[in-house]
Amino acid sequence: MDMLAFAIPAWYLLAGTMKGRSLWALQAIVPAVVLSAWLADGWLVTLMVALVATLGLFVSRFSEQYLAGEAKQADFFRWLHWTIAMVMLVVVSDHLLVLWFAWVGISLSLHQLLLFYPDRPRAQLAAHKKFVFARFADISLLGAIGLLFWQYQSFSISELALLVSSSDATALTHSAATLMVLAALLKCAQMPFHGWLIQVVEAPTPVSALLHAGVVNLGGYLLLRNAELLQASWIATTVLALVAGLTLVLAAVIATTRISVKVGLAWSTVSQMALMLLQIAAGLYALAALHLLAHSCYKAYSFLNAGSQVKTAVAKQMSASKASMATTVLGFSAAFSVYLIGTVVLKGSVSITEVAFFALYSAGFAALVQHGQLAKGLVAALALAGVHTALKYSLGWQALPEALALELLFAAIVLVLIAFAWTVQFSEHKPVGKRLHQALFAGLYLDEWATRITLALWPAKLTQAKPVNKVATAEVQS
Amino acid sequence: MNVAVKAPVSTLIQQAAGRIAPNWPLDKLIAVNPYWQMRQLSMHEVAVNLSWLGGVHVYGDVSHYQHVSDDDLAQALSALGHELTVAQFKQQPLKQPQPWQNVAQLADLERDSEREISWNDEVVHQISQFAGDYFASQPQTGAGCDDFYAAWLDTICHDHGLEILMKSKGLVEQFKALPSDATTLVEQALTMLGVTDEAQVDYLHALLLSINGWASYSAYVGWQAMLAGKQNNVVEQLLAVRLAWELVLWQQLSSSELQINWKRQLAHSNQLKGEHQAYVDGLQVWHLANEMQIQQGLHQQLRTPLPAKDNAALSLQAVFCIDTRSEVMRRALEAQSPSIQTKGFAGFFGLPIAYAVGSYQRPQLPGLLAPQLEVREASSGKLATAQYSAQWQKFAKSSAGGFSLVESTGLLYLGGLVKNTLGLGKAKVTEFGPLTLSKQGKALPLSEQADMAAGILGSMGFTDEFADTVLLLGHGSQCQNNPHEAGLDCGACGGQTGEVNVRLLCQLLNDAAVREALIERGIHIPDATTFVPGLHNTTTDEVIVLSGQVPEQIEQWLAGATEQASSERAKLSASPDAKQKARDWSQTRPEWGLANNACFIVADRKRSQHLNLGGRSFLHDYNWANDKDFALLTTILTAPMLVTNWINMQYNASVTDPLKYGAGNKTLHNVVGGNIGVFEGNGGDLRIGLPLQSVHDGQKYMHTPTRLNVYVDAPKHAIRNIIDAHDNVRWLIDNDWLYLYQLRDDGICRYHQGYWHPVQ
Repeated sequence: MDMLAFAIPAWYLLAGTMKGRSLWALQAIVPAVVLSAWLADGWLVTLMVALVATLGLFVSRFSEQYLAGEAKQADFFRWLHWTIAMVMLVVVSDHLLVLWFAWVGISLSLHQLLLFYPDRPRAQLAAHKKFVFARFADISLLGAIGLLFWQYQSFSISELALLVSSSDATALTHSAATLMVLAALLKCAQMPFHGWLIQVVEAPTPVSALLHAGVVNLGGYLLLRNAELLQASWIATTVLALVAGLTLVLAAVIATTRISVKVGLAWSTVSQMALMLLQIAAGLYALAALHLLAHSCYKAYSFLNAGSQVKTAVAKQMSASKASMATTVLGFSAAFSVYLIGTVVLKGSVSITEVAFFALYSAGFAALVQHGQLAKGLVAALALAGVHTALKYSLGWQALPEALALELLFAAIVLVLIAFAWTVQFSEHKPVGKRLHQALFAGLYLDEWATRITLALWPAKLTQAKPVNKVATAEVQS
Repeated sequence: MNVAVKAPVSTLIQQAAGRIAPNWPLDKLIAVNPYWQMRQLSMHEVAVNLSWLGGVHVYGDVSHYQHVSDDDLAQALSALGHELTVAQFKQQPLKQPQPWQNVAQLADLERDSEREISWNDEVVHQISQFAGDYFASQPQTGAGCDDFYAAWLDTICHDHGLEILMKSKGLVEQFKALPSDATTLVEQALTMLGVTDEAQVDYLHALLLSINGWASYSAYVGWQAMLAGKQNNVVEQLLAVRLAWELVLWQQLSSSELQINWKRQLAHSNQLKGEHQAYVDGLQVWHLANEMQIQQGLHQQLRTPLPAKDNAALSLQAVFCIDTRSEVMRRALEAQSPSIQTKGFAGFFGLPIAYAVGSYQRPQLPGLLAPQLEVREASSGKLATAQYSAQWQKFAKSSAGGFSLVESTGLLYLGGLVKNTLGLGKAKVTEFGPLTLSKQGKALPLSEQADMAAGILGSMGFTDEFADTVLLLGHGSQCQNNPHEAGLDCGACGGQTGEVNVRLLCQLLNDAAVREALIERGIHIPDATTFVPGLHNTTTDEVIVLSGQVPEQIEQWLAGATEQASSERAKLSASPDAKQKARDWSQTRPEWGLANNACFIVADRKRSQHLNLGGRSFLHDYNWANDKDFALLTTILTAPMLVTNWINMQYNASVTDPLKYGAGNKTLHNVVGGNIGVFEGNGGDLRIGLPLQSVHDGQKYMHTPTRLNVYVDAPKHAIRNIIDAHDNVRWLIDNDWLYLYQLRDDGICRYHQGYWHPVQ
């Protein structure tokens, strides 16, 4: 890609360093989007630039008042815009080494944001875990880039795409693809590397909004950009599908057991990222891209608006309603039929994977119908099918011709999720449900291992509860 | 204390649990004096105990008193009987000694903090997470909750994550060996730990302070049970849980260093307390000097001669809540015309009601009282939108629903971002129809309605001289995205706006049948008089008329008052546009609430009407000449005065000890269990009290900690009799939780330790 592409992140750097206010972010959006549309060879880049620029603007604008009176507000804006600039650089860069440096840059500037309140021990622990995982991701990605260069003598993503798809996969290709998948899994906080994403709600709300909407999904974006490489390696695809699939099932049900709003949102991000990665593994790129964009908007809004939780909770109490099995089944069937018929009519065929995903979405709509929102559920189902189809045609991507075994794997993962979710929901008051709840509430102890191993390998400088002075002990409890 | 008779362990537990004040959930958030349950002790004694047991500052540390002059200090030193000169006093070092350490804290001394998680941190975190999960699944009525300890034990015996995280094999086995009964556990633990009899209650108190947030929420659950006439011991069970951790750590670690440290601490506990006594004695001087400075200003103001009374005909009467924010607005409204009279009365207007929608019910009266009557909207439909959005949220939270939600509607949230960023949020008050009133499911008979109306008018001292328009004003805050919004609403209405109360009372007083029945009860309301319900928006200082219309002249006066009051309030903020703040979802300081409250004046308005009290005073109208047996005064001193003490102490404590009694930084707030409370960040203890941003503008505290100065215009013997007859009033005054003065034409007298002292 042209050197001009770097003008976009450069603009943000300037904005962040010089002014550090949202007005600059606002002015940066239009040139960024125009420039990227002009330069990039695909809609994905432009959409991502638009997304990151827009969310960056909202987060920046929100933080002006929200963090007013904080001694480090100016630092916050500096690091916020540095982070956005580095994200932009990852998004627009066609050169893998540039992308790699930008990726490291995101991690380093984000680290400053995560430690906005440096005296909080749990913030330190979370940032530390994130730091360690990020270095593993960096090494994996660098390894992948090295192997690719060794085999194809190119650092260009677009060139590599052509080279990879025109030659047979070798052991090197498989290794490179698998390393890249590993980097993506680490960056997308897939289990068991998810703990830091949950615990970084120790930083101010806008940091969470930025992280969940604009940073954590870059793993998926990386794989979308390098889709040809992924397609060339069934090993990498299988690793991706297994880890993401398992995470999808577990994180989705664990998320429902969380007691605090931000932690619940963070767990939901883990499972949403898993869904996106699973879609990528299944070759459903349009769906994955749609998911990435939609999830970002949803999560940015949900975090920034998390203070409204109390009002929502009261409204919930005011509107107790009973669920019945019959309406649930009805809702499920209705939504499922709409998906299935819609796809067959528009596309002419439907794969097993698609059927499984439709079942997943339909299960969600069934929940909506349970609460007496049949019409809304159907409208939403139609809207989803429509947007998906539109994206699919405009992006012009083909699903890869999967092996039947892989197809069945996807289908199985999704069906297990549905079954598991319903078991949890309906066994709530039975002993087995109680044990299940306890295990899920404990997050299946995965993060406990991650924390312990991290601290053993790479000790952290934590302000611990050395009960020598009052401030230290009291803050541990906060 | 008689040491010969050993108290049974259940009594010890009750004593310790009985020291924790309740903390209301966020949707019903009202101010609470966090020391309320220790009011039988002097504030100074409590300050020493809390500093010793929990490192708590009841008085602020020295940094809070930089405005205090040497003269003030000299006065305070002499008032407290210190022999020191100011220079000598200032030379003494004043640093808080290390507080009492629980076993979990002592265990941390031996932990490698770079490679291992702190025990104390993890104990708090584990209990806190469990409590959140437990209480989120319990009804918030105070019923149930009797299996807290058992449920915790069941959970922790199946939690294998702790062993992994804490690198402590066999931990779960220790939990499995614990007794299944909470009282037995406490007995066993106190014996094993070798806690001496006289230290036991204090140690248990220290344990509760280490999870003070959840202890306070548990106390709320117990409080609700008490109001409903039931029993509940969830604080005691929480205490057993905390103590179980101590016992388990003690046995699991079985380290000699830990045992030596623990025994040393037990042996030297009186010495440690003595060090805290000396520290707190020093702070007391600073705090008192600061209060004396405030009092001098107040006394001087209250002694200014009253201006001659202007006998203009009344064209508008407006009754406000006693809230300090009303003082600014009343002054502004009175300035519009001499024909305007304002009154101050508790904002729930004495209505013992709960407001109900479907199966949801919320009290609309002070937290000290239980509701007797239920109010509902006569026509429903108001809540359709709220219900839809709630169901959508519920759906989004289901495990499968989240995925389809994001896929199908995620992009639409871009619209939400735009809408909220531009501040297009809806105004708070929208629709008003008639209300229905019932008692235990049956409509309230007319005679009881009239009795209630007559009682309320009587206690307002408002039985004649009615103007054509009488505005009854509730108040409420307007802000977005604020978990602590209820804390800015009317505390007398249970942390709601006063909307329901004023609508109901106006409905009653405008009812022809009720008016007729009132005549029999000696109150004649002229036909020309209309009662109009209104809401004082304390963020923007607008007054919204909730039903009916007021004459144009009155509308103009209200607009004029809004302008004056909001420009006065704007001086306290960096961003002066109140209307913008009320709509801004990123605003963490929508208004200053009751910050800087300092006094409570119980007197006729003529005593304060000519004064600018700067929004620092609660004002209750009272005329003793019309109060035959001082029944009204009794009510005021036993109810509204308690409420003002709760508010005052909440603000004081949130400033002097923001870690234990303040909710922390709003930018980190993380709502727990929908409405139970907030965590600051990922977890830790539940945070109670006021957020940092509610009392701090980024540069300085907006509330100066001071005990409330209560001024009463009534004969000395009447005040004295009420004090002697009511424990709560006596404790508050004799134990120095507030200052009580008599305010008369001939001067101000302070009641202190049984005697009246003229104030110079």
